[in-house]
Amino acid sequence: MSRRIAVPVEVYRGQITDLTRECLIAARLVARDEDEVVAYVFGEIPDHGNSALQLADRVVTLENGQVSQPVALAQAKLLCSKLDRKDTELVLVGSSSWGLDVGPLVAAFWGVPLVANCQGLERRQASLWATCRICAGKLLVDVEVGAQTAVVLLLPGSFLRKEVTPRATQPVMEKESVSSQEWDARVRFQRWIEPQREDVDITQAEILVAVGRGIERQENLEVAEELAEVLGGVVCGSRPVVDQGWLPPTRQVGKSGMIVKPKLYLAMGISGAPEHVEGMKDAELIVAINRDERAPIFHVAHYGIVADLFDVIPALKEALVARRQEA
Amino acid sequence: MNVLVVVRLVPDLVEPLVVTPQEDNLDWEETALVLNESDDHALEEALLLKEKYQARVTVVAFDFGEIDQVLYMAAAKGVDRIIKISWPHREPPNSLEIAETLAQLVPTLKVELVVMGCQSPTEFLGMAAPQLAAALDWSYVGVVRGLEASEHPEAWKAYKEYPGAVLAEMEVQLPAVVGILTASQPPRYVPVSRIRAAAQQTRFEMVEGPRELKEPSAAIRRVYLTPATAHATMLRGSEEEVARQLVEILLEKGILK
Ligand SMILES: Cc1cc2nc3c(=O)[nH]c(=O)nc-3n(C[C@H](O)[C@H](O)[C@H](O)COP(=O)(O)OP(=O)(O)OC[C@H]3O[C@@H](n4cnc5c(N)ncnc54)[C@H](O)[C@@H]3O)c2cc1C
Ligand SMILES: Nc1ncnc2c1ncn2[C@@H]1O[C@H](COP(=O)(O)O)[C@@H](O)[C@H]1O
Repeated sequence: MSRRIAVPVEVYRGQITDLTRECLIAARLVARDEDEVVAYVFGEIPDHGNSALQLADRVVTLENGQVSQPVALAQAKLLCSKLDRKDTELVLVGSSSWGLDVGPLVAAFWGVPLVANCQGLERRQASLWATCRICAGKLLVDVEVGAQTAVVLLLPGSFLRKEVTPRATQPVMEKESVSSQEWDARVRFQRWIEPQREDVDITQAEILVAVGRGIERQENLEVAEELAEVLGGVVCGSRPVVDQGWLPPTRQVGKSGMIVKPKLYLAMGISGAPEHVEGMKDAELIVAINRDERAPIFHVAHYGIVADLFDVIPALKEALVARRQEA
Repeated sequence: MNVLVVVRLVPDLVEPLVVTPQEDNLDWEETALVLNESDDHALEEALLLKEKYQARVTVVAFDFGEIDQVLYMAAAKGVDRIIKISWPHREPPNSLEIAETLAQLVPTLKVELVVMGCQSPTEFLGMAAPQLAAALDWSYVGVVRGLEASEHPEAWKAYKEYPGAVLAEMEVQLPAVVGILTASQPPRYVPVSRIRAAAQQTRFEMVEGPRELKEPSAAIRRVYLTPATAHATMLRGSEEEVARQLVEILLEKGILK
C-alpha cells in the first residue's frame, strides 16, 4: 500500500532551513518505491528554496495571508486538517525551535506516537526503526515504531551528508487555500527581536575558546580570556554560561546561539550536548578538555584531554608564551 | 492570575548512567535524580510572575524519589500551594503519563497558565508540555525565554528562542501551557537553612495518580550507552606534557604562527 511521508517545511529568515532538507533526505531514504514524499510549505516558496524541495514527490503550498507566520500551534492544526492521518505513515519534522512545537502538537492532535530526539531512522522489513539520542547525548534508545502513523522529530546533523539518488522528474506542485477559520489565532506572532550587536562576531573568529558550566563562576572567565588573548582568539560559551549572564547571548554557540566554523574550537568544561554540538561540529579542529572521560564532547573532538580545566589552562598558557619567546 | 508549575526529577547527568543488564531501561535504582533544569527555570519564571503581577503559584509534582526536597525548596522560594501526585511505580512517569495525568488534574485547579520545562533529558516517546496543551486544548508555545504581561488582559507575551540569539515575541491567549527553556533571570538561590525551615512548615496536598500504566506508544527495543563510534585522540600525561603536545599540534596544523 502506498503511504505518505509528510515533511512540514520550515522557513526561517526567508530560507528553507538545512534541517528541513535533512528531513527530506531522511524521508527519501525510508520511502519505498510506492510511497510518496510530500513537502508542506506554509505560504510562498522562498527564492532558492527549490533545491531542497526537489527531493519531494509533491510540494503543497498552503496559502492565505497569515500561514507563513511562525506559529506552530496554528500550523500544526492546519497540517492535521489538511492531511489524511490514515494515508500518512510518517510526519518528519526537524528538532528546531519551531519543530519542537509543531511535531508534538501534530502527534497529540492525532493521538499518534511521537518519537523525539531521533538521530537515525531506517526501515527493517515492514517497520520503521528509530534511534533516539537522549540524556544530553549519553544514552541511545532503539525504538520500533510499530504504529500506523507516527511523528518523528529529527536531530540536526543526522542525515545532511547522506547520499540520495536525485529524482528523475520534477515534483508535482500544488496549492491549497486556507480559510481564516482554519487558522488558530490563539497564539499570534508579533515581531522578531534581534540580539544587541556586540563588538565581536564569534562566527568570524578563527580561534574560539569556549567555556561551559565547568567554568563554575563568573570570576573564572578571566582565565579563559587570558588564554584567548595568548592564542589570538575570542571567548564564547555554552548555554548555561550565557543563561547566568556571564557572556552576552551573541557569544552562545549552539541551537539557540551561533553556528561557528573556526579553525580551532577549544571546548573547556562543556559536556557536548547535541544542542551545543549543532553549533560547532564543523570547526576544523576541535580540542576538548573535560574531567569526565565519558563526556560526549569527546565523540566530536579531534583531540581530547581528560583533566581539570583549571590545571590545563595555566600550563597551556605557559607553553604558548614559552613557544613565542623561542620563536 | 493562577499559575501552575510542573516540576520533574530526571537523571543527574553528572553521574554515570547505568543501564539494566537486559538493556531495556535505565537502572532507576542506580540512577541519581535531580530537578529538571528547565523546570527549575519554569519555577523561577512563575515566581517572577508572582512578584511582578501578583500571580498565585501552585507547584505540582509526582511523588517519586526525593521530590520532597525539591518541593521544600519551592516552598522556601515562596510558592503558594504544593500538590503531590501519588506515583507508586518503579520508574518516574514518562512524558505521556505526565501529560495525561495532568490533563485530568488541571481542570480541577482553577489555573489559567501552566509553565513547565519545554523538554527533559529522558524524553524520546512524547514531550510532556505540548502534549498537555493539546490534551487540554489550550494554547501552546515552547522553547520560551521569559514571559510578560501584554496589553490584552487575556493574553501574555512569550519570548521564543530562535537560532542566532534571536527571539520571537508571541502573544499567547489564556488558558495556555508554556514550555519554558530559560527564565528571564537565573533561578534564585535559597540558603539551606530556609529550605530546612520550609520542611518544618510545609504541607503537601495529595492527589491520586494512575495505578495502572499503559504500554509505551512504540516498542523500546534497546537502551544503551552511546558507543564511541568516533573518538578524539587523547593527549595524556601531566598538565605540562599535554600542553606541550597541544602546542605542537597547533603549530603543525598552522593554527599558531
Ligand atoms: C531547545 C534547546 C536549545 C538549546 N540551545 C543551546 C545552545 O544554543 N547552546 C548550548 O550550549 N546549549 C543549548 N541547549 C542546552 C543543552 O542541551 C545543554 O544543556 C548545554 O549545552 C549544556 O552546557 P554545558 O556543556 O556547558 O554544561 P553541562 O552539560 O553541565 O557540562 C559541563 C561539563 O563540564 C565538565 N566539567 C566540570 N568541571 C570541570 C573542570 N573543572 N574541568 C574540566 N571539565 C569540567 C563536566 O564533566 C561536564 O561534562 C539547548 C537546549 C534546548 C532544549
Ligand atoms: N540554586 C539553588 N536554589 C535553591 N536551592 C538550591 C540551589 N542549589 C542547591 N540547592 C539546594 O540546597 C541544598 C544543598 O545543596 P548544595 O549546596 O549543592 O550542597 C540541596 O537540597 C539543593 O537542592
